[in-house]
Amino acid sequence: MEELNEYIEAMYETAVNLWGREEADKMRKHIESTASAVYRVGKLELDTSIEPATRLRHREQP
Amino acid sequence: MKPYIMSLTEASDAIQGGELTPKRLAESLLKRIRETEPMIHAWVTIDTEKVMEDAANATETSPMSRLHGIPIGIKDIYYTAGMRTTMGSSIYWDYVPEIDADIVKKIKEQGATVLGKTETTEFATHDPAPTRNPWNTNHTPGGSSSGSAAAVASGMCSAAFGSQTGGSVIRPSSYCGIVGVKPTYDLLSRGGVYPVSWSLDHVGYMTRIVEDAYHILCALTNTDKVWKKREKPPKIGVLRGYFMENAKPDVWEGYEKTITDLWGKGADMIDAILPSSFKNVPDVHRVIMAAETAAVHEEVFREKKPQYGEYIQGLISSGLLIPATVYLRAQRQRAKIIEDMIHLIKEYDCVVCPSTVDTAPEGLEWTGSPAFNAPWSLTGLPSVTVPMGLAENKLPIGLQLIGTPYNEWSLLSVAGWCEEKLGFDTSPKDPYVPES
Repeated sequence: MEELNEYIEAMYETAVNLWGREEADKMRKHIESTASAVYRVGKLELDTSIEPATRLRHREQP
Repeated sequence: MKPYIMSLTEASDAIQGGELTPKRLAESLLKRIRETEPMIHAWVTIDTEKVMEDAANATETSPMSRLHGIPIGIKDIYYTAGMRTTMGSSIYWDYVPEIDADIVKKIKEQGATVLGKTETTEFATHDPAPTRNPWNTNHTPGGSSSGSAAAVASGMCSAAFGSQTGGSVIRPSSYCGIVGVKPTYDLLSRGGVYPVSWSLDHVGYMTRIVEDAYHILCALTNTDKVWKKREKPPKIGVLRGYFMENAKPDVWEGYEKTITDLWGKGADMIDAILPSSFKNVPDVHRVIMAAETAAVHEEVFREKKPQYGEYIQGLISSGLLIPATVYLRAQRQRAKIIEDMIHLIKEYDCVVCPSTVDTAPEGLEWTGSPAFNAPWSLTGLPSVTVPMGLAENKLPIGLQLIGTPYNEWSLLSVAGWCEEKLGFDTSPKDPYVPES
């Protein structure tokens, strides 16, 4: 939990550096929600059998 | 029967049989729009003269397809040559594309008429459109394809196109008590449709009955299939878990009642257990959507940020902060979720869950949660909503059916079976305007 909060804070500070505190404060809710998702996705275990590509493979490959 | 009341199939049959002309159909729909639109606000642009000109031309030519002479609504993020396309944004308020989106081109080739452009939330995300729900005008119709759903539900057209990145076709269709279709990712071309998040965006559409949806899919995919009512009761996987934890009580009660009803009518209703990877759906969807939306808007956003609505400003700004490695990690997780879901669904004719978390929220500020639709946008699996009844507040609730990739025809045949057994009346809804 503490690590997550630190991550959110780090992302918020990046936003402050980019757009200023007033703008970052306005977007705080979005930053928190996205930062939480980023943090959790970053922690997910990867299946090494899945290639790091961005294609969807619904069709059978020839 | 007044032509505006007809489903697409009924109108098409009547045109092909010579009992109805495209001109009379267009006149009836335009009259319905004049009467209903002041309460609903479903349209951004309607070029009445062009609609009547196209209808007159269709009346003079022999019917060439199911869509011949049928006026169709188009969400205002689809490019329409010579017709204003605003994306629901002040930035594009006067933008007139020179080309048609691929879908628009396709329906025109099939003899359909563009009835007009329907309201969308800003850039098809969450900042709301002014559209109201015909079932109760104090409530949102949902979004982002707000105008398309409300127009079909209230009889201003029998079919309209929308798009879905999270839940923008299925959710408004469910809130408005109509049929919504989100086909497999990339089955229908997204060419000329303004992107939100390219790997999640789907072209979809709304109708009032499943048979109409079937005919549209055939027309769009050049498929020569004949609609037949399904006789054999389907084998359906029933999803609970995540959906039960997040649904509001009246939606869940309606869903459980529907499961029992369908079982009573002969369907094989079997518990389908969600894979453990499913719990990652909300985070993975959020990361991909925010990163891709930020990439789409980055340049314009830097120049015209104040012209963006509050929600999309937050989405883009936070998306710009996402590390590339996390975006790619999300795509890898997504591949795992897709694999697991296909593995689960292939055991059944389809799986089902409620179409929405709740009924249409009161007020227009919030278009509702896409939480029950985002999994199928993320996985690219085809989904369909059919109305399953009314909640205690007299607003519709929908049953969402999900199939395996490219099995839309089979999915629609099961949806048609459920539609028939559930018997929900989807004839055009006269707007209900509560006394203030």
